[in-house]
Amino acid sequence: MNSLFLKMLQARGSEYLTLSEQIIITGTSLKAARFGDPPEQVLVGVDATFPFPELLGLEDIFQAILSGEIANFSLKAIVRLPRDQPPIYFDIYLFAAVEINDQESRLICLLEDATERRVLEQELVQNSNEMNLLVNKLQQAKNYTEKILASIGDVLIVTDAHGIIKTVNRATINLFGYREDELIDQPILLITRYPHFIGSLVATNCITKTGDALAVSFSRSTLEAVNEISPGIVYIGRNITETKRQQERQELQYAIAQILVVSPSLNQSVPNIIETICQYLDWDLGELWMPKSLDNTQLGFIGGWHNPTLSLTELVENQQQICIGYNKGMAGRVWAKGEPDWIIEIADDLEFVAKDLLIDNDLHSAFSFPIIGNSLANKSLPESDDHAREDDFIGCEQIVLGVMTFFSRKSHQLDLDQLQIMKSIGYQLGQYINRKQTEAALYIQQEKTNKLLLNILPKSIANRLKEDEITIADTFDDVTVLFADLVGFTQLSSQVSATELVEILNQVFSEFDRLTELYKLEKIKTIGDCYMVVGGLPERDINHPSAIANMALHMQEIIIEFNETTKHQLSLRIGINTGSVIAGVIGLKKFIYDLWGDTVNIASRMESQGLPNLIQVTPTSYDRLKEDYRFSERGPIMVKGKGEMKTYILEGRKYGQLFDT
Amino acid sequence: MVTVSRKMCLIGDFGVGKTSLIRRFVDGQFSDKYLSTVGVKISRKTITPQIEDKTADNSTNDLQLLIWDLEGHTKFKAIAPSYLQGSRGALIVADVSRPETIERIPEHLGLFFSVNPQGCVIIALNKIDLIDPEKAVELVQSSQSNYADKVLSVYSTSAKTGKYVETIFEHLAMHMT
Repeated sequence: MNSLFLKMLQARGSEYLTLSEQIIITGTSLKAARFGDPPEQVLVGVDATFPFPELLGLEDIFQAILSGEIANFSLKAIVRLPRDQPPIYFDIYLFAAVEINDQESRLICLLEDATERRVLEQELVQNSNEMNLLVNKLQQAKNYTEKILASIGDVLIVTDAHGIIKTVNRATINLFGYREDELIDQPILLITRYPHFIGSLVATNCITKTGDALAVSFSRSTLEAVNEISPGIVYIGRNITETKRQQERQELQYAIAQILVVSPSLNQSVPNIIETICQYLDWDLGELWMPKSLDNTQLGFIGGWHNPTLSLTELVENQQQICIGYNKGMAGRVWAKGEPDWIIEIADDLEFVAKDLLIDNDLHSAFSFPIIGNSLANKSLPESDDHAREDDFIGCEQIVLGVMTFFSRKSHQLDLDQLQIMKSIGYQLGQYINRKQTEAALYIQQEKTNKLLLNILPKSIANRLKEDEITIADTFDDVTVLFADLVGFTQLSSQVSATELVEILNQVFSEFDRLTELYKLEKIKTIGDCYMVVGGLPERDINHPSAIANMALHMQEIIIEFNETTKHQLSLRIGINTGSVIAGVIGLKKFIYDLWGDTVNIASRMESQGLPNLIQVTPTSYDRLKEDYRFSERGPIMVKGKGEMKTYILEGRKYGQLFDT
Repeated sequence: MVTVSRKMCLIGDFGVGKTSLIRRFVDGQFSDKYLSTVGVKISRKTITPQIEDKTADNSTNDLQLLIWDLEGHTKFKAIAPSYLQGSRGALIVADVSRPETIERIPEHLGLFFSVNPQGCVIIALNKIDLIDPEKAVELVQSSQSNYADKVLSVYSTSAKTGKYVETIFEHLAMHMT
């Protein structure tokens, strides 16, 4: 080995190993061992790859150096980490030994300490890499945030303190139709006129680039100034146009239901309903058409409403005059098909009724829907509680009862949702019309029932029965009872037919019925050819004896007249008594208002033991009447169950006209 | 018994966890703290390869692995090929949480094979504990299909949990005898 060269190396502070061809250490510099791992193994005669594992696997390199193929080989920045000591960095340079006569030492392995430089480098690399990792993380965090902002469906707008837009997300661009650069640095007033009132989640009116109105619910919060970030306002908004629209439509249905509940009739509610629909859905004119009369070939104008701020009066007057034929124009089609219709541009529709006038009035869009209900009007109303009829009533055919049409100056695009709602409102109105018709029918029926009831019962009694009083039995201390029997009727029955007989009886008794009304008496019943009437009940009335007396005298007149006109030979036997009775209704079926008591029995005896064409009264009645009426005494007669009784025959009134009640 | 020494290198971008994988494998330790490696640090570990063919003569020989922990690739400094000289195997390491480190795998593969055309490689997709398991499966599958003809295998590893750490070293070692 060239000792001069090695001395030079030592002078430079470099350590070295000399190696044999087999990489066995043949010599070391003084302090070369400190680079060994472990240092103790850096000994002459030891395989260099033990303390310097870096040399393992370099067989090819050694051969190449020895053969002169390559001049040298270096491994830089090898680190040793001795326990509890700072790291040592060193570089290895391998080259051939210059002295070829030394057979042992063929290679020189130069070991150069690079600790100072590498420790510095490590610090730099550490900083640089940490920075890189941090930047990477920040970038990821930013991407993540941006992804979140981009993927949220809600509108996100950040403005500076003066309302100038600084940031928008994808949803904002999509919703408002502006490009990002068309929004950035523009005032937020571009899209909403009310940015300052936003605070809570209320619908705010916004406008898209194409001018469409949107309802957006915004929350607004202030962005605190942080370092470089200037203070601003963050708006987060959700498009609630559709929600709001649906809400409004639901409200519309409630509003119409409300109108129907409080309106007594369709005619009164029509303008109200149409106005409500127009205002909720932004239409200017609405009309109701219904089939005219019975022939069902034309629709006639029923009622309407128009926006009072528009001069549509002339048009409306014209509409009121016209009739729309079946399947003619929009309304006629809706009537014929029973389905709603929508016309975006009236001018484009071929067969619009009064089209020119509508166009002249600058009306563009129209829609119409049918009012569908049961075809009640054409059916006879149920008149009894017959079950078969009720079933029939439910199964009624559904028909178009009317058609509503709406017009607007604004062009309305087809809105299927709105049509659907209108269709259901059409059914709602149809049900309302049906209900009103049914109510009217029920009212008529109730009136009939009442009349019938009053025929058989006094009004006050009827009312009491309606209020669920099951049995009525009232005591009246002072009433006058009259029985009248048609004498000769039995003989007559052998001469004429039963029908004729009933006809005669009907004529006579009908006359008597009118008399009861005239004298304000209460007819109780007829029993065969006997007619029973009472005075003094159910309303108490002290004039009942004379009312009955007048009735009796008048009945005799009636018979005389009847005989004269019909040439029949009927006569009347009348008995009258005054006293107390029990009056009431008993039983559940075919009930009548009836009287019970001794007074009734005696009155009946007066008649049955009376004489034709005479009115026989008891002493009780006589006492009450003798002042004003003329009587003759009949003398005592035997009254069944009562013994002997002195009776009187009523002959007429003492003073004045006979029938001057 | 003869102990054979073999050189293997860990190659990859900075900060993917090469040093941590070695530390886990050699010392059974792990630290979250990042300490960048400068130059090269060689660790030794002797293992007994599990060779199935027990009848083979040298089947019971221990294997001393000389594991070269190389300074990671940065955009300022590429990996010096001289370090790779004589390395029979390489673990190419990438960080699953940093896509660019996965994208650079082909570059590392090219470098290694240019020095050791006969060498064998295992890819370790490290820091698997940081991502969603489904995503991990997806990444392993796509790497496997991309490099199937070049590498022995692809593993998703975690120096933090120790997952597949021994496997990658032992699997590679088995092919280096």
